[in-house]
Amino acid sequence: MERLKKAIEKAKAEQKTSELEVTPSQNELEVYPEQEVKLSSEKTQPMVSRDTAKVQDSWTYRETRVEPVSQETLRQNRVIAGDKSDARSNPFHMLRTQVLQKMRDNGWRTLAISAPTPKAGKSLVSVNLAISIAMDVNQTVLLVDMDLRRPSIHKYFSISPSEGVQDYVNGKHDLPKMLINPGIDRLVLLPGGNSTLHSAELLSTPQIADLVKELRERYESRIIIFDMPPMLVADDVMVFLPYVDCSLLVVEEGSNTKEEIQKSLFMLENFPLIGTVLNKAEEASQNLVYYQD
Amino acid sequence: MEYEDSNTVSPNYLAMLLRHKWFLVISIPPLIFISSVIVVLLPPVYQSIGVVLVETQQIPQDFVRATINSVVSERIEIIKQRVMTRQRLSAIADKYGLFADKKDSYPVSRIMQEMRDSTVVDLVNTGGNRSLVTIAFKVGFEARNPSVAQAVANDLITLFLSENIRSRTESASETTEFLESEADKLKTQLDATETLIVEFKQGNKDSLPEHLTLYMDILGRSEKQFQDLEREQRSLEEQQELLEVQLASIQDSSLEETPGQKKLSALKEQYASLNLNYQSNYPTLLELERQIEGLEASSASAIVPVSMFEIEVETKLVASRSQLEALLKQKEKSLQKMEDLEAQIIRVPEIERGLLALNRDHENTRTRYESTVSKRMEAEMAESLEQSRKAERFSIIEPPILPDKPIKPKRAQLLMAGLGASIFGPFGLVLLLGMTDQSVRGSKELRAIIGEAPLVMVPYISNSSEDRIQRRIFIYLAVALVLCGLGALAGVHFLYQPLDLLVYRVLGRFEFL
Repeated sequence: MERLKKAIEKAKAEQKTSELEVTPSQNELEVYPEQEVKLSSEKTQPMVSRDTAKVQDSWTYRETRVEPVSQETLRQNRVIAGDKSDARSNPFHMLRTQVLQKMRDNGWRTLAISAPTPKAGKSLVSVNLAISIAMDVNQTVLLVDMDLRRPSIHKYFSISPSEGVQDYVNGKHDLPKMLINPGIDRLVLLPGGNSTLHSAELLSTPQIADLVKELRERYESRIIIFDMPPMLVADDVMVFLPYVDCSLLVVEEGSNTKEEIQKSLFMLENFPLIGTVLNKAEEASQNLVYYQD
Repeated sequence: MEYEDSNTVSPNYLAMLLRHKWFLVISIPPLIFISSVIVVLLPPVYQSIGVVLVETQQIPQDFVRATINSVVSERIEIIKQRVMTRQRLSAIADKYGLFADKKDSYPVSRIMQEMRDSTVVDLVNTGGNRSLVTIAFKVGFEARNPSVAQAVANDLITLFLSENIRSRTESASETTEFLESEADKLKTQLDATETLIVEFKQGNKDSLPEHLTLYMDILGRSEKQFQDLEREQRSLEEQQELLEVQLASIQDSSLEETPGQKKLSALKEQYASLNLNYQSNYPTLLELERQIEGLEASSASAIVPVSMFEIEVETKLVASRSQLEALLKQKEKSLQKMEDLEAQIIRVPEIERGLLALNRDHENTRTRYESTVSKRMEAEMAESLEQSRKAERFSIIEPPILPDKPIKPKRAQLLMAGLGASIFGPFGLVLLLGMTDQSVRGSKELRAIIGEAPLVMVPYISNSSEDRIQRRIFIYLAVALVLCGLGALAGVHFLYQPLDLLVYRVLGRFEFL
């Protein structure tokens, strides 16, 4: 741990001075040759500092498929958590701090993110939060797309649909082959899958339980975030909740009503809820900084 | 976490308005513009009103009572109904060409209704809380053209006045006629009762109460007469007795039988006794009978000269007898007369009663007749009063003037109203939207619902294409608005009227200048 701390501090210090340095280093850290890096624009910054410390975990993904995505593409997809210059990323960093703290305090490793209704922005929040957590050099993240009716995680990374959770449930148990790294350190994705089978009640199958078990065992050190379906659409989420340690509820301002929120909370009643996130908030747009009481 | 059970999510209206600020900015100015244009373009309506005074009767009511005594306000209302008939109103409309252009499209009833709506009839009252007395009334008309308004108002007032006069005189003459016919009827009745009385009296002329004393007198006299007659009769009878006695004595003294008489009486005796035993055809009897007859005949002729005294007495006796007879007859007559009179007198009370009833009828009828006649005379005076216009009358104290300013529309007010509506309309809409918005907005509301503030608030993350689109929309709208505004101004300036003139005209409509 000592070495790790020193490494982080050094990295931080060097980050400030070498923000423009974009050449990938040639040492152990294998970087991503296909990643686009704009040299001309000052605004462009590397997603991650190349001079990360020589940590034990290798950031080379030997087994995991790598499908890097450019910053511009991410911004177009509204994924901005990795862009420190974008003020809109701040809430996600704050969220990360609180979530990590709570989870570490309780020894929780798995987190389910949901919202009362569709289009509330929970997938976006999941993605941005995952990226934000991945920016913490002490933490690796596995983001699982559990919204099997409408898998969307891969879209945010502009990745074409590939095998995932649905396929696992159908019998293909080759997890490592399904994981994808989107070109961001410490972040790995498990897409929803591209099976065309109707996903009704899929989440209540024993295969799902197996999946969660395998994920937990295999990727012990990682924080696993599950992007759930909307809570009030079906009762999938309730069935799934016993498999995770805690949950997060995303609420859409201007759309979710009191009844919807209360119903969702009621469904989450017996499970640890870290808190709620108010998405598409006007106050946030007005640059109000929110402090928890 | 605790759940708070608040009733509803209380809307934050200010945030609502701010959220929809662009909608407000875009919608309010055009609305203001449109409402202003409408207000400016509204055609003016002119009103011309005349005032008619209700003058009370000059001649005191105690002297002559007019026939019409209803409340003025009621009468004015009735006259109004009579004046505002279809016929008259459409005559006026045709005369001045009102609704000329709309004759085909509007039904007649609608034209009538509009005429009625354009007419003004107001009462001018005075007096306290209880009794409101109408002392005058106003009649007026509204039209687009001031001189038309005045002309129509004039016509209406004239109609009111003439209708008033007509109805008053008609009413008065009706009254007189009615009373006259009533008087005639009563006169006939009166004559009938008189006839009855006459006939009754005629039928009972013997027992008329007015003759009662007369009858009583006559009766008295008759009784006296009767008594006189009785006395006379008694005296006559006495006299007669005396005479008879006298005569008897005379006769007695000369009543020695002559031989002839003696023989006669002896024969008679014989005859009588024979008659007892024998039949009448017994020859002796027959012989006797012959002898008796012969003797009687000769004795008749062989009358002994009676003394003059006897003759005198006999004459007197005969006279007395005939006198008595006459007297008795007279007495009978007198008695009859008395009886008749008594019968008559007894009937008098009954007749009296009958006459009383008839007279009473007659009196009643006469009273009624007389009172009717006097009423008729009053009515004739009232009629004359109306005809010389000395009763209550309408007189124009202010003829309708030519209006120089329109009474409608009140442009300043309407402009304010339009302004208000243009602003509060969209505002209201937004607020309404807000009230019905049940969604949660803001961290405070969320906190109220779930008992805890959210961990973070994430803004709406837009991507560059959205930004671009928004910007583009904004630019387009702004340019469009400006172009429209300029275009409108240019259009007005070149096609309709130069702008400076227009400004003056508009201000003129608001009576600022």
